[in-house]
Order: sequence, then structure tokens, then C-alpha cells
Amino acid sequence: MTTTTITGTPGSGAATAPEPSRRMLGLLAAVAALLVLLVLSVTVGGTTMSPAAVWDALVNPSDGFDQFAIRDFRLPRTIVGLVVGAALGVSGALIQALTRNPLADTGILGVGAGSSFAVTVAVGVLGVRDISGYMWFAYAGALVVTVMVLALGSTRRGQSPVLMVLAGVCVSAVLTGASSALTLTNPEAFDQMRGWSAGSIMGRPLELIWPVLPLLVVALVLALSVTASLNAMALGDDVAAAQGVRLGLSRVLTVAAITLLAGGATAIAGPIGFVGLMVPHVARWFVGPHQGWIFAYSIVLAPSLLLASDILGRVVIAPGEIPVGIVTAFVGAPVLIGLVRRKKASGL
Amino acid sequence: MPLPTVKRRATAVATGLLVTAFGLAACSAPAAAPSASPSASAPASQTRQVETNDGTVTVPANPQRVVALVNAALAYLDMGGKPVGITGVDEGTLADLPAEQQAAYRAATNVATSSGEIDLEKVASLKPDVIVIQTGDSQYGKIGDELKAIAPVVFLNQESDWKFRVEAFAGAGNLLDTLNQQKAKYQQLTTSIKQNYADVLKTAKIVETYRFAGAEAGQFAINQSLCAEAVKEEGIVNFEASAPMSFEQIGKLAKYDLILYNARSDGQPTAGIQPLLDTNAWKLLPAVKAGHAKPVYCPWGRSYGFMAKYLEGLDQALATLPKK
Repeated sequence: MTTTTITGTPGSGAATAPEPSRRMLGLLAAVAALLVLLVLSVTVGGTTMSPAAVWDALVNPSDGFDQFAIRDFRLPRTIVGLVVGAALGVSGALIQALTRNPLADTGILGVGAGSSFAVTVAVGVLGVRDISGYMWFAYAGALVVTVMVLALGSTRRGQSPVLMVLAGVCVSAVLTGASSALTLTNPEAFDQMRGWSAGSIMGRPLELIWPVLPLLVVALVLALSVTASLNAMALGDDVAAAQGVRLGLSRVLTVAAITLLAGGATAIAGPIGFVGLMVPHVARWFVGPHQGWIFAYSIVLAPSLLLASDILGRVVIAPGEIPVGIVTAFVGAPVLIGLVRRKKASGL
Repeated sequence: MPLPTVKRRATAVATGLLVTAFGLAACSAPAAAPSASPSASAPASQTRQVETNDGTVTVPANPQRVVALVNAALAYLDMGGKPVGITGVDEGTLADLPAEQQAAYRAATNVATSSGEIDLEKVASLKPDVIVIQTGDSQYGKIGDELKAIAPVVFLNQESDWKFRVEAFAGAGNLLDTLNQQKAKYQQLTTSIKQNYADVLKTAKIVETYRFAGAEAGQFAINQSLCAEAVKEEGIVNFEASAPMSFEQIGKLAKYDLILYNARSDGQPTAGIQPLLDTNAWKLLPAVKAGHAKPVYCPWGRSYGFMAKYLEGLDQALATLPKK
């Protein structure tokens, strides 16, 4: 894929892009919505608590069921949702920019399949039972598979987005089949993985976040560093090269950022679909094709979607819960249809 | 609720040849004579009749080679059965069983296929005298004929009364002596608990917390074990309806005077329940602070032995409550 049709010059006042002041206003509105959802995420659930009780639990910690519920479960869950959502959103924006495909998600690079396969091996073959143990396998699986895809998608002239996508799809298919074979031959592993593979942020302690957080920060820095290059690459490889963009380096850095972000999110929460696909796509409606704005919107809107879905999953069948990965799939399917039908508005 | 242990699905793989081969074998075998009075120590030449959900089945009175399939596996082991073939259970479930049952399990051939279904060829290769199986009607409908071509099949479905079921399995496996001992103990415990704690059972609020090893992080359930269900049916403890709960809701257990939690046969918490016991909120519960959180043993199978062990745990737990 070397050419694409766009409606204007990114970052230079594209005809379809709104004014910067409107972009900023929209971003502030998105931040406000995220803040509301953060509060709701801590207050709404199996037992509903007032914002005052939440505040009290944070500033005057003491022994009490509500206090423990907030500090030990709700707050970690909310922070996990924030981090995982932001990582999924930015990684989705990156993959869509890298492949110039507005309906791409990180799955086409094999990140999810690599993580799932590694977790299957960890649980089914090595007997790892705890999420804090197999999350590193998930991360390693994502990294190894992405490097493999990067290598397979490379030619003498550098990395080709089309080849990378094809390699990702092929590797994903193979690994998905291998994972299925392993779980079918080891039903116990299937039982153990059921919770993780549904995609959930429930019961994830903050201890899972801290070791991954530095890698996510590095990935965000990488993402910001390739923003200008991705804007230029949206015009086509030849134009980007003429503008001085080092195509190979930019693609490697982008893939690295995608892997660190999506791999980290998947390692913590399991595979959660549609967030990384929908949010950058919707962001593009509002801000046009400028990657910097798309990143900014994605980093705010994606956790909002994840937290809203998680809150919905808590209340729909209370006192039981639906894993957030299932809720996002339910929400995502109809939204995806809408996105496909609205292709013109969000084309890259 | 997903069953954590025994895999229930059956396969129809390669059954055509088996049906033919074993159908011919069955046709050529001499018809067994029904036995009027089952005897636990009957000689091998005698037979007994067992009532099943597939009609009355004639089985050898003293079978030497029994295959226990699907949900019959744990109940059969608990009656002291030493099957030659068994449907596999997961390691977590196995670890919760007493050592002698683990040994009997490991000595048997796992007849589950790699996908957890029943390997009919493997069952046939064990040349069983009798097959005991507890599963759903639909699954049995798919494999019942093939199994019957291998050996007499004592089939009880999931809806059958558990007491009727274990009687049938015990009869099929010539385990009636053990069954009767376990049954007597169960009945004695049922009576004594009802008598000794009549007042406590009327007033005390009792709940059982349950969580199996593969449960979703941060979730558990109340009053969900098969034993809690049986104890309620027996009229011993009027447990509330079973319900899923998240760890955020542990505070809702504060109203209970006695909290039971699932444990291994040695009384230690199961790997599944341990994360719940480790939470700060659990440690804050009045019943926990007062030492009224007690272990009870209940694997995912129903038998008089399992139930008696559960009642022993309940008996000890009730003893910690003040008598009013």
C-alpha cells in the first residue's frame, strides 16, 4: 500500500478538520467525561457509595468495609481501566496510522494472538496459575510475535505495511490454531484461562500495573516521537521520504510502541476488543487526520469507553458481573457496522 | 455455573466399528441371571440388578474392572471404589481429595480424550465388567449404545436424586458395605446436628462461601456447593439461595454469625478460596474476628462420604457458636 486518498494535508488546516479551538474544546469535554466516569467507576458497583465516602476513604483511611472496597478493589480497578484503556486507544491509533487502514486494530499485527498463545503455554504446559505469573508470558508473547511479523513484513526496501498486515494475519491464524489445540488437549488450562481470555479488569491489583507502567510510558514517548512521521506517511511513502522521513525507522518505532502498549494492556486485562478500533476512528471524526490530536483524543476517550463498559458490566446482572471484554464486544459490534457504513467520514 | 472438575462431553469418534465389534461380542455372551438379593461379598459368578435411568441393569455381583465416567467419578472414588478407568479431573480438584482417593484416581486409566470427551476405544480396551456414569440425558443418548456394547452400563442422569444415585453406583461396584457405613454416619450426623443445635439453627445466620480455582479474579459465590444444597434439602441449615458476589461485596457477609468456606480434605483452605480469605475486608468480618469462620470440605460430587465430612465440619463450626 503506497498510496491513499485523503481529503487534505494533515496538520495544515485540512478542509474537513475542525478549528484548533473546537478540537481543544472537544478534548476538554472528553476529559470532563472521563473524570465523571472515574468517579462513577469508584462509586457504582455491587454496593453503591457516595463520592463523599470515596473521598473519605482516600484522605482519611480507616478500617471499614466500604473503605476497603474502595481502596482494595474499586480504586485499583479504576486505575487499571484508565491505564489499559489509554494503552489500547493509542495503540489502535498507531496501527491505523501505520497501516493507513481506518478499521485496523492491533490484532492484525498478531499482538493478541501472541499474548494468548504465550499464556496458553504458560498455563497449560508450564503450570503457571496466577495472573501475576502469566502476564509476563503475555507480554513476551506479544513482543516475540511482533518482532516476527516485523521481520516477515520486511523487504530489501524496508518494511511494507501490506506485508506486515499479511504476516500478522497469518501468524495470528497459526497461533490461534495452536492455542486452540493446546486448550482442547488440556481442558484444565482452558478453565484456568477462562477469566483472562474474556478480558476483564476486575480483581486486578495495582501490583500488576507498576512493573508494566514504565514500558507504557516509554511506548507513549515513542508514539509522540513518530507523530510527525505518521502525518507525513499518510500522504504516501514517496511524499514522506521527500519530506525527510526515515520510513524504516519510523515504522519500527511505531511497531515497538504498538507492541508495548497493546501487549501491556493485554497482559494485564486479557484481550479486550473494539476499544482500540473504535476510539481512534471516532476521534478522527472530530479532529481530522492529524495524529497528534488523534492520540490526544484516544488517550482520553478509550479509557472512558472501557470504564463505561466496565460500569455497565457491573450493574446489568448485579450482583454478578459481565467481564468488560464481553461488554465492549457487545457495544463494539453494532458500532463497527456503523463505522464501516460511515467510511467516508473517517477515511485516512 | 461451570463445573470445575469432571468433563462431561462425550465423543462419537470411531464408534461405528466399536458398535459392530462389541455388539457381536455382547450377542455371543451368555445372559446373566438376575440376583434377588444383592450382596456386598457375592462371588464373581453371581449377578445383581441395579435400577438406573436406563431401566433395570444386570451387573456382575463382584465386578473386578469398573470404569467410572463423568460425574460418577468422584462419588465412586469416595465410596472406596478402585476403578480401572475414570474420567479425568483437574489437578485442583484432585489436590482437595484425601490421599487414598488420589492414589485410586492415579492408579486408574484416564479415559478422557485429549479434548475431555470419553475415549470409547480406551474404555473398551480396559475390558470393564461394568460402567458407571452420571451425565446428562443428551450426552448419554449419544454414547449409551456404544457403552452398552462394551459392558453393562449403570447410568444416572444429572437430575436423579443423589441418594438413589450412589446406591446404584455402590451396587454396581460391589461397594455396599462402605456405602452403608457412610450412610449410617451421615444419618447419625444429620440427626445429632438437628438435635444438638436446634436452637442455634433456628436463630443463627449461616452462610457458605465458595470459590473454585478457575474462578474469575475478584469473584466468589455464596451457598453454591453441592453439599450446601443437600444440607438445605435435608432441612439442617436454611441457606439463602446461592448467588455470585464480588470481593467488593464482602461487607455484605457482616450480618452472618457463622461463615463456612470451602476447604481441602485436610481442613486447609482450597487454593480457590484463599484469595478471598486474604482480603482485608474478610479479616474485618465480625464472624471472622470472633473465630466463627470455619472450613468445610465438599468436592464437586455427591456421596454420603462427602456429605458426612461436610456435616462433620458443620458440626464443629456450629459448636463454636454460643447456645442460646
